[in-house]
Amino acid sequence: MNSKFGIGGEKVTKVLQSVAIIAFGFVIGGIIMLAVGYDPVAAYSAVFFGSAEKGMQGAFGGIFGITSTIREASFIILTGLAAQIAFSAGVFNVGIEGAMYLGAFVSFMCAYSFSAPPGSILWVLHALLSILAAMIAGLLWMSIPAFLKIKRGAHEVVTTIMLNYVATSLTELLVVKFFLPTTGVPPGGIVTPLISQSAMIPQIDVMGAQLNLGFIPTIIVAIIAYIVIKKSVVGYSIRVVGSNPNAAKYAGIEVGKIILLVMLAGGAMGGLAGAIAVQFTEYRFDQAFSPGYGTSGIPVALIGRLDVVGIVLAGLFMAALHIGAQSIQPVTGMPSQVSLLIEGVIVFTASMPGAFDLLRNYLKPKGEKSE
Amino acid sequence: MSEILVDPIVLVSLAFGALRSMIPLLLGSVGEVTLEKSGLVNMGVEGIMLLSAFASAYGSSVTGNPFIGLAYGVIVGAVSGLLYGYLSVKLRADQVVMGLGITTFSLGLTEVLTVAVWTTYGYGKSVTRMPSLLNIVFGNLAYQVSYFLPLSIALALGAYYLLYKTKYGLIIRSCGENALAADAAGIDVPKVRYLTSIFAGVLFGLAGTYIAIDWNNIFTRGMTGGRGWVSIALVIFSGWNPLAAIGGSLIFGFFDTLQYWVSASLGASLLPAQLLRMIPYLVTVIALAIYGKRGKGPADAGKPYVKE
Amino acid sequence: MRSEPYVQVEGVRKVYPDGVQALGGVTIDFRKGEVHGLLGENGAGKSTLMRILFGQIRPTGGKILIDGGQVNFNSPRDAISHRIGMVFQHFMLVSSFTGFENIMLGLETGKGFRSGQDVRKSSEALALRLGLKVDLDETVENMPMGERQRVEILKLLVRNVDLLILDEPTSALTPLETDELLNVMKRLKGEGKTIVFVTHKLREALSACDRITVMRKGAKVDTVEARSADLRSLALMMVGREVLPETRKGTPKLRDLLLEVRELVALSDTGSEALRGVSFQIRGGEIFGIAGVAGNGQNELIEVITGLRRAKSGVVLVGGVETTTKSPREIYDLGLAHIPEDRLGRGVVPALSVKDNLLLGLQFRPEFEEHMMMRQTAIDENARDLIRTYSIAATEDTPVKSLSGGNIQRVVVAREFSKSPLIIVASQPTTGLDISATEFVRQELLKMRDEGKAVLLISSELEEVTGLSDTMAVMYEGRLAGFKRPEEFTAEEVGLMMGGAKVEQ
Repeated sequence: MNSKFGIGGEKVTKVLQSVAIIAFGFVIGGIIMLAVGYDPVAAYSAVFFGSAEKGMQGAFGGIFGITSTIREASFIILTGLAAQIAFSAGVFNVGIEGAMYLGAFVSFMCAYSFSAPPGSILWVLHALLSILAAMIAGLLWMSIPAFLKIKRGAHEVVTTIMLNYVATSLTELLVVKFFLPTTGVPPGGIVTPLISQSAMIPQIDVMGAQLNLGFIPTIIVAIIAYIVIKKSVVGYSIRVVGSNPNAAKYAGIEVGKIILLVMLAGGAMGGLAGAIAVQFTEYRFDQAFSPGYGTSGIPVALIGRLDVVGIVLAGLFMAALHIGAQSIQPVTGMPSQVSLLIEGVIVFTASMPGAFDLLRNYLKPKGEKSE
Repeated sequence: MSEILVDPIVLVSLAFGALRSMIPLLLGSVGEVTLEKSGLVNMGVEGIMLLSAFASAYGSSVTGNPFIGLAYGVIVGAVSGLLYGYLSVKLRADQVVMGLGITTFSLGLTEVLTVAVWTTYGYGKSVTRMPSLLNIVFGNLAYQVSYFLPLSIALALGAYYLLYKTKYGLIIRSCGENALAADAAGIDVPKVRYLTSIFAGVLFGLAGTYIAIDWNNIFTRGMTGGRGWVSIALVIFSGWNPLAAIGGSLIFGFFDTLQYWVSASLGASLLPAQLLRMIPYLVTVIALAIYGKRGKGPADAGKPYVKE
Repeated sequence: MRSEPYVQVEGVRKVYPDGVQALGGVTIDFRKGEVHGLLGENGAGKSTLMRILFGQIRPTGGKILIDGGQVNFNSPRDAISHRIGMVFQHFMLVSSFTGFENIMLGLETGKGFRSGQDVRKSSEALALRLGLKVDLDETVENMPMGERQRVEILKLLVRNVDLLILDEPTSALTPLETDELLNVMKRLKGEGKTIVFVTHKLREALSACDRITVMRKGAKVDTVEARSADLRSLALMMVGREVLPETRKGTPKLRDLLLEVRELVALSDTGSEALRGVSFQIRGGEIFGIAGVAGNGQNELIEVITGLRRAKSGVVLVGGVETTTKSPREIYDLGLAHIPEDRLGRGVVPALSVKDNLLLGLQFRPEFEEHMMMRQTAIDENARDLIRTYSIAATEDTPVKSLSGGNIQRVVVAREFSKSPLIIVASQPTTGLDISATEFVRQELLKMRDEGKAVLLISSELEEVTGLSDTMAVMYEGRLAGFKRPEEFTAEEVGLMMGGAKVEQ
């Protein structure tokens, strides 16, 4: 069967598939809303545009909404990239949440324990080194499941999920032990004191709202990821391993090294996300800082069809969904968790490539069926 | 501290707590073991348990009869299990991703339905609870033993017997060990997998039901609390053996109950709650490190097509 | 042996959807109490025919008759219920189960649970009566191949199978186990059972069978009585007469010794000896062809030469450098190119584009890589050049998985040859290709040889080997024999060698 696909065809198909998956999620969400007695149109418009009379901005309805969406997107684009780089090599790294927590804690410790005099170069250094330390922490954490997979063949999904729980319990333990009064948890939650000023990355005032600068490192990472995967030899090796490990061996690619590389990279990115939470956003370590950023990375990676540009767009979209979801409750009375419903359907649908093939065969004119 | 641990009241309390905590873990892991033995993996255990928890609370709430709730919970579990199995086999869905999807989806769906049914956010109204098997009074505290305890142990024993002592067990295990050989022996591999999916779903449904209307008497957001994931971990920890799962779930249940007890009696103790919470997960990682590639079957993705 | 037919295949045809005709109207009758040999080389159609008889494949035409009545099989289960069973070359056993559990698997017994006792008793009785030495409680993975085979046979006997098809049963057995098997077959025959013994091994066929049917190219050549046949006549029938090649290649201009293999001994995955002391030399400017039925060590030979398998003893020298312990990458860097048999498995990365595939193995070369980045323009140009030169019907960005088999092979050939190799190892290079693609590959191999490269060609298609090789040998059970120019062989000599009747070094 010959093909006239070329560049245009393949890309178009990928985008269509992403759009289809998202649309399907929204449709199912809408059906369930209707079944339960809510108005999906009102809900979706609340999500994206808010509602002036209720004082909610939704994702894009006002400057607060937009800055919140950008902040949220920084996190999940980063975790999405971390998931994607592993997927490209055929590795299922679900452990980014754990790397993020450890990175956040290490970032906090570095930012808190030291203080640089204002106005000096040490100021910048302090912040940067704390970020770097967070990335290293995430990277090292991820080396555990990586080695278990390479040396013992342990399935990375189970190990990484387990280690997520270990990481979050560990950070909680450390915070409770060393930073909370012995009388128990104060009303503010399990949080640490503030970090040193010298490690803080300020937020910028934009039209009255605070714009979090976390998107800058995220964009940098996205650019680097794009260059590496698309244009470097390493990226090529990763893609070969992800598609056909046997052929990779044949071509002289060391599969074990590639697996290690993608997991460590994912860990570093997770650590970076943690540093963003601590040094760019809350300026302290808050045990509850992540509403599941790590896990959200996976649907982002899947919708983005493992393409860096796709992931940035998917990340923005999912962020809009998350932030906008907060407007659903005040406006329609439905709980904000309905966004989880939609997200779940999206992930679910993305898990079935077979469905696409079936659909494609169904829609193709006779005589052109492929397998 | 050590005197506290030897205090009979504390010990009894911990014992009953462990027996209580072990039930959903045992049910979850036995169901998953049986399923995995047939060559499928269900990563959505957490989600299915949560859906069943909701369904059972709903059933009990609407009719005032917890047994109806039980029926609802089991049916939801069975249907979810079958759906999962069907999609895995027919559409060659990626089982891990699908499982994660179900988990997220059920968090969202149960939340929406909670509001729709009980008009409250995050938790429902109290419902009629399942009756207990035994009521024991010790000191001046009363403890309940649930029907689910002997039920889940019986199911574990039954699963073991089925898998290892009957010819049906042979068929199930062959589908997981070498689907090609099973097919050559004339076995309908997809059908076997659908059946084990239903069985697993029923057990997950029982677990969810137990959590909602036996252990508690109300549905609350995310009340399965990660027990679905621990069940998956338990499968590995017990070496894919339902009998070992009984012991394993007791151990994990013990640590589960210990951490509640510890955090209830406030921080400053020898073993902080967080450490205890970590233990089941750490142990699983270690078990995985030791077991390594001990898979039960290469044919995870479904039966090979008989082309010609 | 009775003389009325028991099971007959009549006019059985099989044409695949893509037009390939595997069987063209075969008629054979099998009798009670006989061992019936089915002889032929690869692609003769024996396995296809038997799989039809076993219900695994549907025939396009013809009938199957049992005791004169027509039957239709939709699945192996049907065949078994009609007392026809098959033991495959690659055993279909669950390795972690015991022998007994494998026998029990899928058996329809009266009661649901714990009905194993009857089966147990009859298995033991059968085993005793027929001299099948099996430890029913041993796990299959701990059993030697011979015992595993006996489990497979017992499986069928317990299900009251009267016609047993054994597909290349001796390929995985030691000589001792082979003798035991032949004895078992005799005893089964004595009980009135029918054995269909599918093989390419002439001696075994003659010694074990009562009658032998020879097949070639999807058709039956003849059925003969074993006692009136001899090795030569069988070999001739198996291989046909038009094998003698036309020399279209001219005399080779030999250059340096490029590939040398000395006394290579290697084990197969099952632990048996796959290579038993293989030696040969190939010089630049010649094609050395190895003919032989698949499964006689060819795969292992390729794997050792390309670095994917460790030899037990012996030496491989590429360009004078010893490579017996080197990695595939190192061997490639020394100038060895490989066109693998398993195209989609090892040869290409299906999800990636043509240009990415053309890069495979070359990605570290300075013309394509600089400072860890890929030189995209160079890669694109390279792809376009190769597409043009090798007439690949695609653009450089087309994903390889959407290409036809012929075009995929062109990609593989293009890539391998673009490495400017010194040695080319081609393994079954034209399987599954249409005429033009096949011609193309063969022309390319000849071109390489004319350019002074050394070519090792391994193919189970005899004409391919005779048509292309300058020197030819036949591989049988891990040994090579022949080493002559193809025209110096007689057809029957080749047939005898392929059937194992004439082995000399």
